[in-house]
Amino acid sequence: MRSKLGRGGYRLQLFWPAFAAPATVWLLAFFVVPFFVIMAIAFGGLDPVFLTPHPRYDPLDWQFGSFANVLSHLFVRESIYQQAFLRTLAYVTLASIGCLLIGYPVAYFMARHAGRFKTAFLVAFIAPFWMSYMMRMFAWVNLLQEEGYVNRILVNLGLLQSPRLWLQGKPSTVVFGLIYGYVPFMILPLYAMLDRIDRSTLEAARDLGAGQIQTFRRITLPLSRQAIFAGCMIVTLPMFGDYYTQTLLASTRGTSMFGNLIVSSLESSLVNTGASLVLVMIALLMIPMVFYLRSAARARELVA
Amino acid sequence: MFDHPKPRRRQLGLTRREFLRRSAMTGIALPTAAAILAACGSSSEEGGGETGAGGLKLASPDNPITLPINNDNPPIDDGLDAEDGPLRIFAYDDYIWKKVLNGFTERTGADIEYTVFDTPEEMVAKLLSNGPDFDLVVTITIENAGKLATGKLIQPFNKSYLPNVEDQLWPELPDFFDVGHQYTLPYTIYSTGIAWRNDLVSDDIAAMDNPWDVFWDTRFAGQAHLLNGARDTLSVGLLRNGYDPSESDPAILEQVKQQMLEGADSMNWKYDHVDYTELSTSQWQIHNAWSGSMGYYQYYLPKGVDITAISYAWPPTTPSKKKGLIAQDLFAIPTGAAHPVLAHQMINYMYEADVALQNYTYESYQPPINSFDETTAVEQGYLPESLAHTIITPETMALGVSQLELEPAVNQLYQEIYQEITGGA
Repeated sequence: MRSKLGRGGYRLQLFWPAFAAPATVWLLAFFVVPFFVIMAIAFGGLDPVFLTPHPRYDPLDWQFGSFANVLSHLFVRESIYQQAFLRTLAYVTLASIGCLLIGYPVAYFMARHAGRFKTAFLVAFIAPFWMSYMMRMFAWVNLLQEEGYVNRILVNLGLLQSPRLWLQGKPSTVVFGLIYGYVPFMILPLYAMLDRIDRSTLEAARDLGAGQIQTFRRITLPLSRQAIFAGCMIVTLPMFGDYYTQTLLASTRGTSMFGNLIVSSLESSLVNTGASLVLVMIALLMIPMVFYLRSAARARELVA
Repeated sequence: MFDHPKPRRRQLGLTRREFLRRSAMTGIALPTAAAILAACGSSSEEGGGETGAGGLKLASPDNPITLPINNDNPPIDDGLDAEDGPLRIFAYDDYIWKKVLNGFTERTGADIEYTVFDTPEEMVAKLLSNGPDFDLVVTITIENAGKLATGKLIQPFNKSYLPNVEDQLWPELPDFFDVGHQYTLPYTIYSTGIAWRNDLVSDDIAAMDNPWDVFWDTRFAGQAHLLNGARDTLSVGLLRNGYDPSESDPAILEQVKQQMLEGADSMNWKYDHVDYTELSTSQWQIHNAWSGSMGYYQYYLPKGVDITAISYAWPPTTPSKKKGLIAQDLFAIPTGAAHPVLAHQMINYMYEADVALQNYTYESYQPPINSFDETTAVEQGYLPESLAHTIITPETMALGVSQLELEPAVNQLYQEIYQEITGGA
C-alpha cells in the first residue's frame, strides 16, 4: 500500500485516523485499564489483616469464587442480588417510559411549535440541570417532606386529603427521582432529531391526505425512532448504575437498587463481591447496548 | 451555645476514582501484613485470648493488650524542637474547629494542611499507601488501633511532649486496646443510644422494659432510623437481645439477622447518621443516635420546636439497665510523619482545658477530660438540662460496652448480614 501511495500518500492515509488517537488513549486510560483493575479485584483476594482488596493482575492467578457466588445468587429466588436486580430493572423501565412520555411531547413542542422562542425554551428547560444531580435531589428531599411544598400544594388543591409520606421508602418516589434526574438526556436527542425532520416530508404527507395523527404516526414517529432508542439508551445505562437517587429519596431495604449493593460492597470488606457485581452489571447492560447498535446499523442499511 | 455544627461523618458514597485508588493501594499493604504476621509470631509467648486479623490478638476488657514498641518504630526522642510545619492533619471533614486550628497556628507559627477521609476503611487504605504524608490522624477507632500499631502504621507517643494529657485525661478511661495509651489517645467519647421527638412520640422510650424494642414497634413503622454501618446497625439487634455488640457466634448472629430482617420489612427502617436533620422534620420520630450529636439539634429544629422536644435514652442508664455502646475516637501519629513533634504539640494543645471546651462548642462531641463535665455543658448553654445526661461521666462510661476488633471471618459475616438487612440501602 505504502509503495503505491508513496510517502505523501502514506502520511495522508494516517492523517485522519490520527484524530482518533486522543480518544483511543482516553479509552485505554480511563476505560480499559480501570476495567482490568475491576477484574483484578473481582477475581483477586482480600488482605488477611486489613480486609482491603488484594487485586491479582495476572489472569493465571484469578480466582472466580466471589464472581461465581454473585452469579449463582442472581438466579436464587429472593436473594438480595436477584431482588435488587429485578427491582432495578422495574424502576429503570418505568422511569425510562416516564422520561419518554414527558420528553417526547416537550421535544416535539420545542421542535415544531416554539418558533423563535425555541432556544429560550430549550435553555429554560435545561437551566435547572446546570446544578449538580445531587443538589437537585437534596432539593427534592425538602420539597417532598411531610410539610413540604409538594404536599402543601396537593392538599390545597384537594388532590390529597392528608400529606403523603413520600420519603418513607416509596418505590414511586425513587422512580419519580430517576425521571426527574434523567429526563433532559431524553429530550435532547429527541429534539435534535425532530428538529431535523424536513417539513416538506410532512407537508407531502398532508397533501396526500394524511391527517395530523396519521402524519405523526406514519412519518414523524418512524423518523424519530432512532432518537427514541438513543434517548432510551442514554437514560437507561446510567440509571442502572444509579444509587444516589435511592439513597437520598428512600434509603430503605425495600427500594434498594443494584447500584446500592455495589456501593455498600465497595465500602465494606465485600470489595470482591462489589467488583463482581460491577462485572455482572456491565454484562447485563451489554444486552440493550447490542440491541441498540444492531437497530442503528439496520437503520443505516435502510437509508443506504 | 454551639457555634456552628456540621455533620460529623459524611453520608455513604464511593467515587470510581476512590475505588480505583483504593485498589492500587492494596499492593502496598502487603509488607504491612507481613509485619503484623511477624509481630504476632514474635509475641506468641504472651497470654492467650482470641486472635484477629492475621493472628493478631483481639483486645477486650478481659484481655487487655499492651502493644509492642519495636526498635524500628520507636517514639521520637525527648527535647526535640518543633518542625516548621505545615502540620498535616488527616481527619473526618470539619472534625476540628477551624478556630481551634487557627489558634494552634498562631501559637506555633505552623500552618495546617487538613486532608479529609469519609470512612474508617478509607482512612486505613490511605495510611497503608500514604501514611508518611500525614502527621496526625483524627481519628482511628478502637477496632483498628491494634492492627495499625502492630503493622507499624502508627508510631508510639513520647509522653514528655504531652503534659496536658497527664493532667486532663480521665484515668478511668478504658485502654484495653492499647494499655497505657502508647499509640492512641482519645479525642472524643460518646455513647450510642436512642433519640426521639417527645412532642410526636407519647411513649417514654427510656422507661420501656427494653428500650431497643422500640425499633420493632410497628406503631412507628416508617418513622424509625438506624445508624448505618455494619457494626452500628447490627449492634441494635445484638443489644436488644442482651448479646455483646462484638458477638462472634454464627448461630446468635443468624438469630439476630432474622429478627432484623423482620424489622427491616415491618418497620421500613432507613439507615444514616444524620439524626439531627431527620428528627428535625416531623416525618421521622425515632433514631438510633450518637450522644455527641445532641448539641446539633438546636440548629436544625424548625421554628416553634424547642430543643426540649428531643429526648435521648442510653439503655445502660435507663431503669431497664440494658446494654449500650460506648465509643472513643482516637488520635494517632502515622509512622514516618515528617512533623512528629508538631503532631505531639497539637495533641497536647487539644488537651488544654480552654481549647478542648472551645472545640466542643463547635463539634459537640465531648472530650474525656477532667475539666469538662455536664455542669459545664449545661451552665454555659451548650446543652439543655433535658439532655445533660448525654454527657458521659467516668461513672456512666463504665456501664457501656465497646465494639471490639473482630476476627476477619466474623467481620466478613457482619458485612454480609448488614448487606442483607439493608439490601445495600
